Amino acid sequence: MGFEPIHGVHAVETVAFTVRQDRPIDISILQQSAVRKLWETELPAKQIPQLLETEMGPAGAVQKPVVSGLEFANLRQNGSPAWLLRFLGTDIVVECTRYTDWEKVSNRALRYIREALSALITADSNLKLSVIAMNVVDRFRYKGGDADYRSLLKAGSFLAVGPASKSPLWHQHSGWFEFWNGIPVLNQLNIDVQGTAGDSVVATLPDDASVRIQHLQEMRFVPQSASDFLCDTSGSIEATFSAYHIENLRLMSKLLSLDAAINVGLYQSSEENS
Amino acid sequence: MNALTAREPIAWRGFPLPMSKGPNALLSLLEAPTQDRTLGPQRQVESHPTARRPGYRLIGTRLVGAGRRAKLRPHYADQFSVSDTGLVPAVNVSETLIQNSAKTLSSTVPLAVDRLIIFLERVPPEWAGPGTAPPSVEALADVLAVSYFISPQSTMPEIEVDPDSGGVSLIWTRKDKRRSFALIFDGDHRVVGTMACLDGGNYKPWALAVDQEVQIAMRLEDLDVMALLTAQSFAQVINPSASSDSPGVIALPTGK
Repeated sequence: MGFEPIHGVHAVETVAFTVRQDRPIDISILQQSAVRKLWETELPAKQIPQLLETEMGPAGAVQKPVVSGLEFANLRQNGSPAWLLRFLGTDIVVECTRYTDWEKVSNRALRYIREALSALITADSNLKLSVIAMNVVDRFRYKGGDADYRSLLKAGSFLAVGPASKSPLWHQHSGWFEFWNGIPVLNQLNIDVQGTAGDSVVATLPDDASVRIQHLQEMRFVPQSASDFLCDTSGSIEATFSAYHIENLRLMSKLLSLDAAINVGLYQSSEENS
Repeated sequence: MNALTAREPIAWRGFPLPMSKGPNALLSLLEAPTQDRTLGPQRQVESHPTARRPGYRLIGTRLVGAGRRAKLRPHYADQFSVSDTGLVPAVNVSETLIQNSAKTLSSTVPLAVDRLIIFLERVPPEWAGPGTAPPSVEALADVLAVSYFISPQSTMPEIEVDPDSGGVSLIWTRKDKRRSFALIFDGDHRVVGTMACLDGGNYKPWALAVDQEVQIAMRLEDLDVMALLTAQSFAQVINPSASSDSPGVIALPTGK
């Protein structure tokens, strides 16, 4: 008892891969692209999302023009997307909420991004990218019994003892930069112990409580030619996402207790090794 | 599709279309009562007079004679027939769904699975002779739940229904018939996955609750299973955009 990963064998609730262009995506190129048919086969629920932006300034609120995007998704019975490919504004986002294993999920996500960039580059060879980001959300569900968060998390370089010791429901949001070859990589780590009943203050951990761990890694750089990132080099999109994955594993291994880390497959227990 | 623009009622794959009522009439066909659609234990059903009645079509005769399960076999890509003694109207379900989708919603599940579920729901009582059960409500609910985890690129499986319990099996068989993968639903909120291989292999059968989405998806992502579900080679499974049938990826400009 205590806290268990939501999917039994792992705790990954969502993984989202984002690539940002230096200019708005021309949706018409993708609409006319041959690869659209393949996306429609794999992600049959197609929608046109819209972005509404309001800018607050000295003159009051200024409504910006509505930006239309394009979205392909594979939906669950309840309508939530298991896989989603979204083009909106400047961002290409692939979101997976049916995570099975890194190799399969990242390969599929990378394929969508490569296919999209290839189509966009063909129409505009000067296309540039300015951000590559990955967001991973892990969730552990409270299964009753031991409500001490220390059965799941360990205080250390990523978790301060303070908030976690004050009340059953708590959160700790933090952020920092790391530098990879001088390029800043924004890291955000948000840990929330939440109950679904609402945000009322409670004295004991509710039965429906869960621990949500969100880790965002976002590399921001001076816009560079998009085609450079599709080559088989250490600076490719693929290599960047692989590095994000390794850094996420490293962070989780420092954040989770030994038992929890074994439960989600970060380590093998000595019994399994023998 | 052309049938929808015709002025006169026409027989659409054996089913008369009430065109005056517009495309929505197609939906009513799906909801039509299923009485008088059972022929009883006829062996040579194609010669039975009922088989020639408008709105009914039966393809093939008895495929599974002594077995406990009788087969429901998709005859064409978009048409079904009962290959045992039962009889269901041969409605072009996929086109019906497309018409509906164009007006109201985009498909959220694979079209093949849409067709499969609708067809199974339409199988009447005593479809394979007196005392035989149609697919049970519980088994159908389980098939529907798992259908959302099956690749949208999957081909239509062969369907078997247990005439005693109403359990449903979905079976994908390789063209050379040497390998097949089955998902078995007995209506107990579980799904069993198993693979039969004539050419060796050590696939380990599994049983999971139908709401164990990730665990089921993991097993359906197995390359052997994916190859059977999608009737593709391993290379096509690994890289769908490299498939000769797919639209293909535009060549990349060479970078640094």
